[in-house]
Amino acid sequence: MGMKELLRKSLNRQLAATEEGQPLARLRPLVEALDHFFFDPDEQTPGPPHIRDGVNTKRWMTLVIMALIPCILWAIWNTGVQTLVYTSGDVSLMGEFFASSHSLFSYVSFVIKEGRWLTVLSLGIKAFFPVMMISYMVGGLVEVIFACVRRHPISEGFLVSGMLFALILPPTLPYWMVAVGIASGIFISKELFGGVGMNIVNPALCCRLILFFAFPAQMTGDVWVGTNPYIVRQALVKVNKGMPVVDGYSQATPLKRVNVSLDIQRIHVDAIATQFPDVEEVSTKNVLDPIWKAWANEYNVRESFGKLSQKTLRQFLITSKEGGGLGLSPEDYEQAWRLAQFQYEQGVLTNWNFFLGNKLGCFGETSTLFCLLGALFLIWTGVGAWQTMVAVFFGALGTAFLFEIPLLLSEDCGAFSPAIFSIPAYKHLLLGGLAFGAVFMATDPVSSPSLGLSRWIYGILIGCITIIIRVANPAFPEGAMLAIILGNITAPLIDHLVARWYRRRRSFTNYRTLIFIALLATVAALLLSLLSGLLKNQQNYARELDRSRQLLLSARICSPKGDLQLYEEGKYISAQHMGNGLLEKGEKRASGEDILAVYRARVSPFLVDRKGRRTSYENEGIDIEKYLQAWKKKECVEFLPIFGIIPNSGEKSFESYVVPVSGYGLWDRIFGYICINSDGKTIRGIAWYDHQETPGLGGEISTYDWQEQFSGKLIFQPDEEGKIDMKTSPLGVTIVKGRVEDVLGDVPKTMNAVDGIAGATLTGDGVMRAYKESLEPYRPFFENLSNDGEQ
Amino acid sequence: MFRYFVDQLFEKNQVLVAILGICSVLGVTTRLSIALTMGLSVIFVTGFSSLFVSLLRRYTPESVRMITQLTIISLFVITVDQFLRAYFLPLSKVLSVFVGLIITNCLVMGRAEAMAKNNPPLPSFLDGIGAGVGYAIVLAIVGGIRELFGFGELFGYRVVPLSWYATSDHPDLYRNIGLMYIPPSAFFIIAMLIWAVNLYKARCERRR
Repeated sequence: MGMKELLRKSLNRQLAATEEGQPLARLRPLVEALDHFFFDPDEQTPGPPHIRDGVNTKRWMTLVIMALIPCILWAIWNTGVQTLVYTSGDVSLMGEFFASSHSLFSYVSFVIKEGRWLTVLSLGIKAFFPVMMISYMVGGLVEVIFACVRRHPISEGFLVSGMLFALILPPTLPYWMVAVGIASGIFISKELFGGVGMNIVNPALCCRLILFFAFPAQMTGDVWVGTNPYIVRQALVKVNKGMPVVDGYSQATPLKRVNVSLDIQRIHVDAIATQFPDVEEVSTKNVLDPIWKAWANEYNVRESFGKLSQKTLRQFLITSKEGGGLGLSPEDYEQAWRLAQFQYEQGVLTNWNFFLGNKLGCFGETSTLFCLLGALFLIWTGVGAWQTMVAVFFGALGTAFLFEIPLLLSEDCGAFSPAIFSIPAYKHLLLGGLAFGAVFMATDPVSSPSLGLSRWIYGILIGCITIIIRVANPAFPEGAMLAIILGNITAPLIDHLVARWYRRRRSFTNYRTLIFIALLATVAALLLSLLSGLLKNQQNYARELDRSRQLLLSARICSPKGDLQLYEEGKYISAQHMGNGLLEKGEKRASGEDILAVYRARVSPFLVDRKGRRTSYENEGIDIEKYLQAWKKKECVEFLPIFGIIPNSGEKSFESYVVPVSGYGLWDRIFGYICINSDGKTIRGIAWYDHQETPGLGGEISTYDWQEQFSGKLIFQPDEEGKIDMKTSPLGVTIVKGRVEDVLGDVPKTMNAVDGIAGATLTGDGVMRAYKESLEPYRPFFENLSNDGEQ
Repeated sequence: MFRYFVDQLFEKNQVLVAILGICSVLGVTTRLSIALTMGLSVIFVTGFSSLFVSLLRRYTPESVRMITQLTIISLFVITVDQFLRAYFLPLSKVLSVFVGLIITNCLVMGRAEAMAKNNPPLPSFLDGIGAGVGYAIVLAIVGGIRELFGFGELFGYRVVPLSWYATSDHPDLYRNIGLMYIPPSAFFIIAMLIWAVNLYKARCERRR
């Protein structure tokens, strides 16, 4: 009792010292927060959220934290378990864990054995606590600074946001990113809008959103266990040594497995699943069996379907549809395999494990079970809106089911439709952050709508968008976060669904207006045609110059700065034009005329027919300009244009060959050149000269930094032993998502792969397709080249 | 008279105060050099379109004034576009559609509607140039911030040393902020600028 009075007295003194007008007035929010922490405040809350009964903001926040407790405990526990298993690098431990995950009983006995639960707890605490503390401290600091500057009270609401934020982060995130995320998120979503109760979107989600777009690789990458991704990768490499890639243990989260390209069809997944020992029958069996029989006949394969070797299965899947196979592209094979494991519940990927939360993922979101416990508590205490939670689940279930309907109705069970569509709807509810988001994020009283019906609409919208992003957008694995943010933004709109129609203004025309318009149009047309007439020659010249320069750039005669260069003793040195089209050492800047003269002297265009034989434009009686134009529009197919590069020494044999390539980027067609050395295999350089890609994103394909990495790569994809067969090896260049060494590691395939451009996956895919399709017709020519070289 | 120009730079900045022309700020500010080229083009277009709209203001029928303004604006936009294509092809390729889209930039239209339609030619011209310069300044600031944090460069020259960057051995070091090279980041930066300007103005108001 004495203690309490002492505290009251001291607080009263501090309150008096920080009253308006006193020198310490700015610190009042701090003192108030301390006061409210120990004693119930006697004043009313001035801002939203307003609750209709006696529960004040403080009690309300305490209730949410209590509802979060099961999730927090599970976050610590599960992070510990997964870290223990995945960072061990111990094959037997991993096997034991996978085997024991089939039932609750064996799971419990696995963790109790040899006192593992102690290690698990300490690992979990080590992973979760620093993140939570950083979230609280940095976020709290922002909150306190703003409370002092703006002179509003510090809110207990932050206790919830800070905890929610920590729970939706992947365990591997570097600590500085946690700090950046919480500081910028709280600042942007809450403080800029005026503090507690004024935010439009959920602060914790906004923090995560910023991290998600700022550091996509860290937020959606493969590695989600432990605190150091590097150690985990090392451990996995150790465990997987000697195993084929697809059979090895992978650190992909279940959600990441579902995030596959739409090109993977249901039949691919089923064909793989048929080989799993415990899968009896797949739904597309009727379609699959005849294809297999025909293929096995044609290629004389004797193995029984259901027990195929990896090699045969892969061959069957990647044989093109015309060739009697299933037409899966080789790059997608691994993804298809992972999806099959997921869909047919191999290893730990069972529904039970997903429900309990025994899987990889962000700290708090893994367990549907514990989210449901929290939901029950929130509904029971009246803090969370049950309509929203139920609506999110139904919205998600319904949308996922809509994707399934065509498969169920069609005769062949949708064998050739994307495999992601066939994931059972209920499984979506057990994946990723949907449950956690629906229970704790979507129901945030500040940023969600407040009327009964609008809560239903809002919830269904969130569920629906989540699934659409997951299923139809291969760029993002998870949609819950984006969907809830979108829901938050539309919440006020939903609450005020009042449509207003404006009467259209009728403009009536009269004689004078008509004359004015006619005059205006005539003058404008005249001026424009004058302009285009004046500039036409210059424009054509600029275009011609640019095309020549880009062609020379791809052949490495032009330097990236637009000057000329020579290749001497293994490196490029700057050069100048001698006047006869040839180059000598020198520093003089190249003018447009120089470039064109060098182009005329060293580039010799000729034609190649479909069998790889050379012929010239004169022989075939073809006008070169017209033919190149027509080729760009894909109007002619008989002869393939190609440019031979004459060496600077003036010898007659070509040092390299430039092939024009074209394809579709994100927005429109893209045109470029690829220069291939006289061995017919290695790339000398590339250029993209005409495209409409987004500046700064896809537009980076025309920057030299990106193009440089192509030189020295192969245009044929080597097989696993590093051999190339010019007749059958896939032609083209692989553009990986991210960095080659991160994605592929150290395999012969890297000889054919280059880094992708961050944020421009679709452009990368377009470029990849352009190389594949443009180079394929030249295959016989490259073959001839390589044969000539060997003789 | 000169006031018409100066007012537009800060006091009535079209982007920060009137919140116009945001779309192109999102699109062309990934790099400083692109942002500046775009800024120059817009200065030219707003200046001259305001001048001509003002010259024609007595003869333009009310019912077709929007179309007239659009025609005049598009004339100048096409001029800029064709000129860039003839003499600065590489830059024009980087800017791609955004030059053409100046036509739809609400800033240009806004100046024509709010100022040139009702005022004599010279003030309108100065006002248009000023609006363009104000826009170019914002573009340069946003472009600078985005290039610095998104690429670690300014005008294409490296500013953040390569040795600060994370590698596979040290995954926790600095990284370029990916958010900066996608358009939404411009939204955030502009929002912050607007916030700062509002704070500053509120403070000036209070002093007075």
